[in-house]
Amino acid sequence: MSTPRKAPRRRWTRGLGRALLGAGLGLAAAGAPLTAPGPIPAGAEAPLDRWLPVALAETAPPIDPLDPIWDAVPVTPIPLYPQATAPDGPGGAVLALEARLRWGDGQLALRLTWPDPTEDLVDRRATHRFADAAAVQFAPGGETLPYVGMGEPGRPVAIWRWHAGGTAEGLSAQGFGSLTRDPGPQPESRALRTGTGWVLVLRGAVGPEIAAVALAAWDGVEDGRAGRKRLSAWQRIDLPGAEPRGRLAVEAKTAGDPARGGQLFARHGCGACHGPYGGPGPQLIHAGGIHWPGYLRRSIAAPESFRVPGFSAVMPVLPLNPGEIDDLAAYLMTLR
Amino acid sequence: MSQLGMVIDLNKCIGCQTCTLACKSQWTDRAGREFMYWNHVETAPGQGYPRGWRTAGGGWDGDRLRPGRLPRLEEDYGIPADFDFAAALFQPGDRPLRPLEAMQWGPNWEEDQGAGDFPNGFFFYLPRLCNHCTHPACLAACPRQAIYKREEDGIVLIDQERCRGYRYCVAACPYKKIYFNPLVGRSEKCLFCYPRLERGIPQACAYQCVGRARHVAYLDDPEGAVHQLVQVWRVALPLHPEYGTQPNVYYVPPLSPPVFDADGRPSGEPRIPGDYLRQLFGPAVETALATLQAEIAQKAAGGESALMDLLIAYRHGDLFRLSRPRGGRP
Repeated sequence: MSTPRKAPRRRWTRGLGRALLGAGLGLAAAGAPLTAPGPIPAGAEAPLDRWLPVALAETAPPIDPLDPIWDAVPVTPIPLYPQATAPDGPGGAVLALEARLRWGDGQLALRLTWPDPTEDLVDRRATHRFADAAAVQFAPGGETLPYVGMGEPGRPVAIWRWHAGGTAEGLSAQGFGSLTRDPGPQPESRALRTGTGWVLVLRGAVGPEIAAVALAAWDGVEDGRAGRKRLSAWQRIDLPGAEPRGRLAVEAKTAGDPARGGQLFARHGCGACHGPYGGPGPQLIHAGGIHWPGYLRRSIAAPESFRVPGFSAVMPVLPLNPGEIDDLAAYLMTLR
Repeated sequence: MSQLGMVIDLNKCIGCQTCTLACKSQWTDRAGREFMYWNHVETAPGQGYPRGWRTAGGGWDGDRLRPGRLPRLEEDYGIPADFDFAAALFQPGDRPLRPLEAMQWGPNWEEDQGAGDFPNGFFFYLPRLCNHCTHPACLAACPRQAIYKREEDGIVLIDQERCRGYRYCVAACPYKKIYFNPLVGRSEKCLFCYPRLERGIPQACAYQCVGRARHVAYLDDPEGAVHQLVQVWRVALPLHPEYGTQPNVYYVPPLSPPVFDADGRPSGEPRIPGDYLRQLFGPAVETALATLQAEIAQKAAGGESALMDLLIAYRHGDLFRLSRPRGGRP
């Protein structure tokens, strides 16, 4: 967990009434950190600091990406990693996205900026082109987080997805291939094309049960769709009325020694299946960038608890003690 | 699973495109489907429709999907011509009725072009539609399980509620018989006219065929023409069986007149090269052609041929047996 000393304070926006905070934000009033913008942790030695600050206000956040209100909202850089578990994943470089979040009047808006040199709009006169797109995924709080790749059976996630030249749609999913259009009110979107990429604002109603968001971007020029995308790890957010944030402390705990974990990885021959060029198991080249330590510990200790769809059920339960599992997870967290 | 099949007799197809229009006016005449031909007739040899579909990949390589590419609307399907009827027909002057944009390609662009040099040029017509494969690559390629194969008749359909327009199916189909609708953002394909079948009416393409070239029946119906032609007589063959999808549309391969030799005398060699037909229909095409020739000769000599009677189809209704075979499970 981050310490109060390290974390910058939330930047309050104009017109914020303390009364709005409610009991759930008592921690914030007491000076505990709600935000952790700044550099991405370099490795597992640093405490897992995946917090996205949310600027709070009484009024609904602006939909216009150029609204000056956004200037006062803290910026968080979020790396988006090529999805290595999808059969058609894009490969390539990590994408540097910047996020600003603002909440007011029951609505959350995310202003996302990411580089994309080519503008690929939805083309109604082409059968072979794909549009640039972006999405935000929402997870409710709990002991653990749902699988970051579109949730898992029984653990649904909500998704807002926008595509260039089109609108945003509200969706929900419980794992690969389960994406379903939400019949309720749809999120709004407004996008701006810059010389180098996109600036997008997504806005919609979000309840206080939401504890984390993950972000994704598709690039039309590389036929981006479905799993052919780049995605972030879950990032915790704190909305007014939410329960205290400590609930994901176990999930975020990084206790092991990555060097010992690396030796265990080699000794148990994990790379035979999880090799850099694929194999019977998912590639782990970005495992630390996409996953949380708790998820990695779970997938080592109880691989049958959730299996990435499309991979066969051959992962053995290794004879490891809890300390060794921590070490392995710590090693995997260094893979970015 | 019961499988409804179709046999198309290429020796009876005259390339009139009545099937194409029957299908188009029934299913694909609007709303982003203008360029789509769920059923079309191409001239073989040729690049076909969409252009170069044989080299666009897809199908199976053992138990793995072979990669495929997506056809392009303008270059490979051809943008449908639009006409200014009001100007051409109702305004003074002699402006001809011509496409507003010059066409570069279309579904029947190479009609009657064929191959070979005079006097030995050759071509035949190849009607194509979704093969409602037994081992469909499209179904396997869809990450959303939006494609399903009906238990009762083996028809392969795309659930429009589940489809999100990813087009993995389009790339995976080696026959390029799934079309992405760019207006609605979903993929669409031949339905084997299931709404007609469910009312006891054959597919529009088969029912309207003026040449009586199409037979429709369940493959496991021993009295049906499809079973007779495919399993008993073995004169109906799938197109490109090497693609591995096990098509359920079968073709009676084309016979051809003899090659003329240098002195202008007919030789014993058929005009359509055997190699070309083997490429299309596999090695079994030789036996199929030999059987056809033998039965034709027998009938021509005044003898009986059950095969010829079946292919002639004296009554239109004999082409179709749509009721599921007795004992067949739905």
